[in-house]
Amino acid sequence: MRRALSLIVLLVLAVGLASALRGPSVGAEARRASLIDDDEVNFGRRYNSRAVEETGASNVVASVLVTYRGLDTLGEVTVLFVAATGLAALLHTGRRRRSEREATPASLIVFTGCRFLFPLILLFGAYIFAHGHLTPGGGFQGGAIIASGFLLIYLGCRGRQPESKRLSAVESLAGLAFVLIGLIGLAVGGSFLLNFLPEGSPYALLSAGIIPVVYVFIGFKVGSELGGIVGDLSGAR
Amino acid sequence: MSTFGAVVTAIGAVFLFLGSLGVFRFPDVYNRLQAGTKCTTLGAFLTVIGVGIMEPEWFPKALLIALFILLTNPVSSHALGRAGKKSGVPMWRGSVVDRSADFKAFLLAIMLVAAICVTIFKDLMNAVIASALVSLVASIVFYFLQAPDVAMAEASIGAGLTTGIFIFAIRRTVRQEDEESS
Amino acid sequence: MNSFVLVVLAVIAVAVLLCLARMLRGPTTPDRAVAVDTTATVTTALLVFLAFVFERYIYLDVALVYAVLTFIGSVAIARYLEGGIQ
Repeated sequence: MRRALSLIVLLVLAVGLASALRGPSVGAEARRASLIDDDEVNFGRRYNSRAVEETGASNVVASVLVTYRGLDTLGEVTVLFVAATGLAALLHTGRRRRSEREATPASLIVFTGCRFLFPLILLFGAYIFAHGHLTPGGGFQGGAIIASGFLLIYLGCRGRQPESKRLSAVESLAGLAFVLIGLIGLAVGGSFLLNFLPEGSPYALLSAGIIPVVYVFIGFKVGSELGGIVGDLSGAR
Repeated sequence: MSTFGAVVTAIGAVFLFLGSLGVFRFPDVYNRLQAGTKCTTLGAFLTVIGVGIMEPEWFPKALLIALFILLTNPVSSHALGRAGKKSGVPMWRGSVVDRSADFKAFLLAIMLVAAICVTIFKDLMNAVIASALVSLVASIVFYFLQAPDVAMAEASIGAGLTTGIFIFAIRRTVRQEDEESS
Repeated sequence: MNSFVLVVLAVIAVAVLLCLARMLRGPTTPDRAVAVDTTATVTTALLVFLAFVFERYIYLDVALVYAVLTFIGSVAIARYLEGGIQ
């Protein structure tokens, strides 16, 4: 019964996805009817045409995420935080589940490989979120990569666990920093999460105002958050 | 000289056969068009030229026929292709777009098969592996749609993290899905 | 130029199909894990090739992320199957 239901849901999703991908979008039809013509109303085109001068970011997605729709990103970060906290609360009920048989230790090759790769993965994740305003990527992607690095430690490095106290501290501080940047924007310019740093020239690393700064904090937050989730699930303490 | 011409004709015939086999067996009209155009054009060209080699006095006219086939067959196939193709796919670059629509359909088909497998597999580990495949293919589809940020997010979260999280969940619960509870 | 792209895409598509067939057949779980891992490698190469086709240097980052993370996913599955997850 449940399997039939899930197959039906899958089919509905597949049909919906297929029809969404083939036909013209609603916006296209409205544009043809000259209803949405100028950039003022058609936000997609507006962001596309103005993002680079207004924010200085080469990656338009980054400028949408952090400046045009920064409040939504703050909400997203909050949702992640609530999910991680809920998971931790659920799993730390005090009952420590210790399995009788010992886990097979990682082989030497896996151990060496994971030890060698972990700092490189951290560096790579940092590269992704530091360059979020220039290349594809950003805070969330970089954070997920860092969390995967923590997962790799748990999987391959014999006995070492990520330290969850430090991870929660980093997570909370980074989230706080994000909100503080928004408040500074409020104090300086009058609106929350205003882009108050200089824009700089495109393609430079230090450009695009607060976008790289916010992305760095989001990267730290998401990385430590998801790393903490991995640690909680694996039973590490 | 005539043996060489015979060989060329024979090879041409083989290609004609292969092209027609493709037209018969390939699953949809574009594939059949592919087989019909490329393979068959080459086959016809070689056959005609081979005949011209075998009979040297016929060679000028055979060459003319061969060149005519070489010029017109692709054009007519192109026209047939356009007739068969629905409009609406945004053209970002030449004729690779047609193939990219086919390739996208191929990727979506793989994704659908893998997603169905997730629900069908009783061993939850197999289901996790199939769901990793779904995320993998979804990432490629996003990439194809020129959304590299989303592709990166899907790859990083779907391929690595959710696989790990599911594995931990399986470790803490059951590995085989119960018959009664489905 | 376009037929070169087509040939490569076609070969890669066949490779993906073969791996999918293996994943469907099984019969054991490691078989399926191998199939998905192979698919991941093939599609990493595909992403790099598509970056060349789309002529965008920045798309290579996505291929790199993909390579790293599918590696981690495969390691996770393998470690579970050998009994290394506590």
